[in-house]
Amino acid sequence: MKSNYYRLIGIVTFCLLALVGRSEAKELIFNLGYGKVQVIDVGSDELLPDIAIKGWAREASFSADKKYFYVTASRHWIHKVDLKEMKVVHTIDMHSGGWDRFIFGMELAEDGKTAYVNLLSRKTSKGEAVVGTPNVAQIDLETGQILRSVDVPFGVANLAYVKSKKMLYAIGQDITMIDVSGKDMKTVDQHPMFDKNMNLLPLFTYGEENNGVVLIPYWIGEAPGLLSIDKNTGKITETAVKDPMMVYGAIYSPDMKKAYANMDELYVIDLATQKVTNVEVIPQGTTFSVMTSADGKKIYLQGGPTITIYDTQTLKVIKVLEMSTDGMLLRRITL
Amino acid sequence: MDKKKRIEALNEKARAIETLASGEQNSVKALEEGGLLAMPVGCSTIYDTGWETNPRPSNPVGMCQPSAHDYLGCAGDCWWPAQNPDGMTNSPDLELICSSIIRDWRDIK
Repeated sequence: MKSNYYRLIGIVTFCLLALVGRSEAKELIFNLGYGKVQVIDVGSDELLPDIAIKGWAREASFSADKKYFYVTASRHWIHKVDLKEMKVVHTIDMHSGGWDRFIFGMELAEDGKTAYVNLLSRKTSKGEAVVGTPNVAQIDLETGQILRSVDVPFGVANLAYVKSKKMLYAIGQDITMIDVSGKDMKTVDQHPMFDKNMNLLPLFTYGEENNGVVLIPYWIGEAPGLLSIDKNTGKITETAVKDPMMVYGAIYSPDMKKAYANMDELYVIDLATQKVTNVEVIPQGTTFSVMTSADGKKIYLQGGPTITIYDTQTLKVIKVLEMSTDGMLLRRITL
Repeated sequence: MDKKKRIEALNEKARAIETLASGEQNSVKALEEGGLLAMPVGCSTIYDTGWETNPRPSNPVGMCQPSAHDYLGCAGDCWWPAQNPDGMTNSPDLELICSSIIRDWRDIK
């Protein structure tokens, strides 16, 4: 009898803790802006206080423990944002040692202390311009020190880390695969795209929010498609889309049966038939980044100083958020 | 036909541009033709559809409507280097003056 009592108390306590934990879970979308990052509470679609940053934000990654948010700004700073305090707690500058180094692509390394960045560099020497060889480097996130690097072809604009292979994919004119498992980083393979006349825009990608898949729109001539890189397996898939569409970004529905893509319109693509099933002209104009809520019930489109929120089922606008900054990228996390 | 053969320098300034001064050599590596790096670093190296190549037969006819939506995005990465500030070299602090071009453009002097 007594043991049943304790069992009951235990179950009730567990349920209460689960409820408390659930009520405290907060889903947030970060809008990478100019001099600030704006934060949307997905539950209420209200804005939370801004996070002030120096520079114009371009890319971001969440640490695996969800304590920090790393934001690249003005292509050379990396700000470390404390997700509890919601403020920048540390900044490193890749401009150092007389070199201007610009970041086009960042992925956090598994150790949580370093990151991989694609760097374009320049300096002046005796009045002359000197351009460094493009390279992907592993850097210390505390000091900005370059720990090791490997030269890559010109044109890399984003990176994707494949954990199972300990491989970094450098996405540019082609996809260059870099083995980072050993002491030195080595380019080991290449997925050709340039010779196939593929025209890729790898700026608006969200692997972590997209079931671990980096999804990138491409064109061959005027024929559109979606290229995916599975960050879990490293598999690269090209999916032609059989209807016209002009898009900047794309993201899957949570069940991965559809993709949503955007620019001046919001497109819904059925991945089984590879057909566009819906097209909605976006009243606020051109948008750049697309994000869904974690449950897939809402779609967020970022363009200029507005974020337009759609109901996924009806494809009707349910809210337009007026932001105080233009933006570049949306990222989502549940804390 | 080779583009250079179809274009002829007509005035002194144009001829001077075509001719190196005595002892002068091409010195800006990033701008040299035929080299590995034929694009000035700082501008986007990304393949893009381009604003002029919208294949859609109907509305919207532009690639970016309104163009102000794309202004700061392009300024930062130098995608429109001729038409707007260059955030990577000459106007790195543009966001301090103007973080939303539609609302704050009057602040740009």
